[in-house]
Amino acid sequence: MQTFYFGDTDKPLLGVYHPPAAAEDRRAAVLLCYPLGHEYVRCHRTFRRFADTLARAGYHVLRFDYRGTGDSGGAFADSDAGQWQEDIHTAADELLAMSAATEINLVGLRLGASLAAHAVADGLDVAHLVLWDPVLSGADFLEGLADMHAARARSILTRATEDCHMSEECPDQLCGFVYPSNMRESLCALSVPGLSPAAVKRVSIVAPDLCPELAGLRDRLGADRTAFHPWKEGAACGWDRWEDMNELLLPGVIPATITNILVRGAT
Amino acid sequence: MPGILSLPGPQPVPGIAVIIANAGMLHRVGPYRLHVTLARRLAQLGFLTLRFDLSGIGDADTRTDALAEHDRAVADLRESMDFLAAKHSVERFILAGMCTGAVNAHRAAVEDDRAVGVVCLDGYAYPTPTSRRRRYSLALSHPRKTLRVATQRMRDAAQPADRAEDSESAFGWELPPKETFVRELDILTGRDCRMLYVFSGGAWSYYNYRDQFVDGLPGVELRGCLDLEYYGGADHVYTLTGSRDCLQDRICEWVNAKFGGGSIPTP
Repeated sequence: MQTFYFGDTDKPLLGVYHPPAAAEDRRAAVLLCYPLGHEYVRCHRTFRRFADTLARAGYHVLRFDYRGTGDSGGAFADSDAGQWQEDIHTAADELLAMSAATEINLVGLRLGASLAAHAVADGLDVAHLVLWDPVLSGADFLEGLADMHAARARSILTRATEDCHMSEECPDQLCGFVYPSNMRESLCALSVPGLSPAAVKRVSIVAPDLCPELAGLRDRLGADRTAFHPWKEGAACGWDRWEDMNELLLPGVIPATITNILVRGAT
Repeated sequence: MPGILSLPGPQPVPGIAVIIANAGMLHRVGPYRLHVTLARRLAQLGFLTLRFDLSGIGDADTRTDALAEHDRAVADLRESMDFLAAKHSVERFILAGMCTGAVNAHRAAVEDDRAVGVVCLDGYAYPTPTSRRRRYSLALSHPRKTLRVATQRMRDAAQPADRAEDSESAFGWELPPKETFVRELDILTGRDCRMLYVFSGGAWSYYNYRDQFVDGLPGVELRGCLDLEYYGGADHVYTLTGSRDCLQDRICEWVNAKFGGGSIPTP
């Protein structure tokens, strides 16, 4: 595992590269795209485990922090969806350059899946795109955050007994992070776009259930190249439950499940 | 153990560094990126600041030696001090942490006399008659919250069934016998180690009024080494941005007043 900074020197991106097990090099790369906001920290350990599993299966793996998130440069509130899509392109270029892999696969979780799909629509050439519990509508995502935030804030403030001389609360905050209006606009415009077969050969959707919205997405992307894989454990994630906002996502079977999806898809 | 070093700004404070330990199982970024923004602000004030993953957390591998869990954390923190001493000529350290991070910072400071300051967020504190009365009063005035917390704890299989009433094992640590803690405080104050203890409203089940820390240690001579804050309007991980700003302002002000000397720049 190699931790390094890359990209713009003013707002460098933190990357963690996991080289393939020496005897198993597939000459293929996997770029992992984290979720955003409070969901990012919930998933960090699982992404680390996932990257280890992929590397053992022979993949060159890079996980990275978008600008304004994690250990990368910049402030969250100064970023937007367009910049995060650019970061995916930058990270993909970096991974291909450092690994000399001949193809790249993308795996994104939640908003990371939506951003990865947009990066593909913008021209990133990908062999296999895995949409892991994707956010299908940025507007619905923000609405869900607003509901969770309101419930969490009520819970905190009803317990407050004394000495509540806190600084003024930012009106743009949602679940621990500030989402200014320009960022909200960019997220509202986010959905999983149509993707041409030339841009991506295979798409996999991994989610707790094939709800009507996901079935519609599968049909839109082309049922012949888009597979659905159930992730039953995911039903307990509580993405929309404020009580679970800080619960860490446990790896469970998901690292092995998605690794198998990629390995099978490559044959 | 991967870590991120925030280099001091134009007016560095020589010979001293701040080390931020993991908050529970969260990786080095901290809840809502608290450790990143705090490290950047401390660096702006001139303090070299390191935040890193203790072994077994985040991107750090597990130690291979046979040390017990708490001893591993102390060993990790001491090794980080060795690293900064060798590479950056640092002789004095301020150790900071939240929750188990607070406990680890305290324990490492007791063990290593290079520690001249400790910042503990929701760390050790002992019950008093007032805190017990308030605890039951709060529980009765918020029955739904109490029920939810109780249900959550029942769901948590890691909780030992014989948890003592006032120990805060729900936060991942057990309260040591009071005489042990008093002895440790005596070691710290005996060498003039400065301490900032901050408690949040999220710790209400074991800490629920401003002076409880002192009241819980009657007759203990703290020799002017302790500063105490109580933010009853904040939750344990400072979800609301106003509470987080308030916390960071206080820590920066305290570190600068005790160990710096420059003015506080606007973040």
